Amino acid sequence: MIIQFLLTAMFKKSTLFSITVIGILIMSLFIKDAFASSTSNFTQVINPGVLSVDIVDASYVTVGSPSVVFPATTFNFACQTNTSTFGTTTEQIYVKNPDAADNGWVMSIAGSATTALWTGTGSTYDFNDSTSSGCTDGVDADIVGGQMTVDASVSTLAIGSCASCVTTNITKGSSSSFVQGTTDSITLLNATSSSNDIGDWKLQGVSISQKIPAEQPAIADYALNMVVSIIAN
Amino acid sequence: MMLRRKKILLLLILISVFVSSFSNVFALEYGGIGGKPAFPDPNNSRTESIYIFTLEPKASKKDGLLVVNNTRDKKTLLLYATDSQRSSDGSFACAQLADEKKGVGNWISLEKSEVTLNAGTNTVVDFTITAPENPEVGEQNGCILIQEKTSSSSQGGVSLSFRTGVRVAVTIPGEQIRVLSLEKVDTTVKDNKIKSTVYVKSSGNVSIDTSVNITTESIFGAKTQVVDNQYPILRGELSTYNFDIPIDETGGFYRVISTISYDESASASIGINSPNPKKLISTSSDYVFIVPTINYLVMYIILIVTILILGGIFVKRLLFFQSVKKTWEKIPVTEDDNIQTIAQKYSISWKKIAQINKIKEPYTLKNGMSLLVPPRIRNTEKILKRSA
Repeated sequence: MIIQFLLTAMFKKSTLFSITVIGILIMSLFIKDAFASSTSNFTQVINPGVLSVDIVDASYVTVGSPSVVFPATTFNFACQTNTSTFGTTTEQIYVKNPDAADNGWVMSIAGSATTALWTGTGSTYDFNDSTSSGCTDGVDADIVGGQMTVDASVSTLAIGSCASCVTTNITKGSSSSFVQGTTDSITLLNATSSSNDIGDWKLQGVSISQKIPAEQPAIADYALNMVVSIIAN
Repeated sequence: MMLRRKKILLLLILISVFVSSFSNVFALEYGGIGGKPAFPDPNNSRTESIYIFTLEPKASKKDGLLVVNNTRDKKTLLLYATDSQRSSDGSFACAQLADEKKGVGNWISLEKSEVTLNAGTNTVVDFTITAPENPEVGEQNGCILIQEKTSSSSQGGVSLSFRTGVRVAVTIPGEQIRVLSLEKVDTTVKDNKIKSTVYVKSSGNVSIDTSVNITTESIFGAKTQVVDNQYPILRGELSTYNFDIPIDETGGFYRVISTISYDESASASIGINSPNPKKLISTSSDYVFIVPTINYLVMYIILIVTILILGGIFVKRLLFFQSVKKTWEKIPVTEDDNIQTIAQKYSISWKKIAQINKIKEPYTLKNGMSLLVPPRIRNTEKILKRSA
């Protein structure tokens, strides 16, 4: 009675009639189900899962523009090495396998092209020239030296949010340097068919060191684009 | 008028909330973007995650790529094919979008190079793969990759992009050679753990799914299996696999035995084994020493000290008995003798005489029996020393 009084006060009779009709129609949908069957018709849509890799923060939220920042270094007359870390507590490398790669998978890192270069304003150096351990230019098409070494063996692999998962049967790649045409991709993780079919893992502390040729011009913000790939075996 | 519209709107919102609260339709998602074969072969489970084709020269085949956006945002995804390449350890990897395509990457023609998917949706993108006129017999590999389309970053350092690849393995009919060799097993000790690297070389023209088994063996022959994994060894590649091998806290000398097993029958292929037994090849490393943990180290030290003490006592007694045999002399026991008087006469403990001569309680001596006693000269010297 109170509800009827309130509704009458709020609406005109014609509007109230329309609302009542709509309400009855909606309610009839549920009542129909209830009378048609003694069980409810639950529906779930499970989207197909795919193997994926991403960079996430500690709360597993994707990091917008992930990068590996090297510490600033100063101009040097000699060839020098600068070292950084790929995968940190705030930018974790995060792998998910939702039953999409039962025979294992490989995660690797590569330059965006074999001919890619560290590029600053008007100056470049290489990431995959092995001549003199990256200190001088070799026989490749460019005219700059420089070489990057990636060492996943020193990294820490841990399970992600899947508490029942394990890291066994996932091996870390060993220290390798990019060599154009020979080693264009470097393995970070190699999961076998015995690894968890459904699981997620996080990787931190991959060492990345870069040989910077002697007398490299002091320009802020040398940049290089790299691609992390994950592929089912 | 306005007030009435607001009221109607409010009521509609209430109805919507009411309806949605009773909705029993919901979706599960597991994050990420990527793709996988849209039409896997039910007879080969490997086709759920990779493409496996057999193509005669110039033959074509159509298939589909299921492209998935399981994130909570709308995404535009780049789709492209590349050649495969060897990763640093011989594993499978894909070339880059910018790299020149010379192999399987060039055989694949995708119907779309870009798709935009709403959150939690997926679509199938068809593609055609066509073998060239004179392809090399055996297995050729390529990739189809899914990568988010993003604007390039101008910040310093390494800017990262991420992509998911689907391997495309194409077998060109002809003689299929499946030959592997276990080149060596390198073993080092780091942080008191055995780090072992197994080198497996393929001399064939197809990839071979290979089981790599690692067993540790102590110097006493105790064996423990620590690894039994399967890896695809790509054609013509030297593959290396690194293992951190846990060793008992007890430490000691250990070696690593590596065994590979694979199907060498030409009728085997990716995901399909022949009925023939698998070929086994084994090799072992040199022994390496693992330092025991501090608890075991303390236990070993205590054990060694105890053994040394007991050994010392044993040796001392042995030497004493040898000296008794060599230097002590036999004397006859007379009627007036007892063990104490003889001991006093020879300046030795009566218990020692009883022990050497195996005399038991009540230590009575019989007339006419003979006793071993220390030599007289030593005895006389002792008496003289005492009196002096």
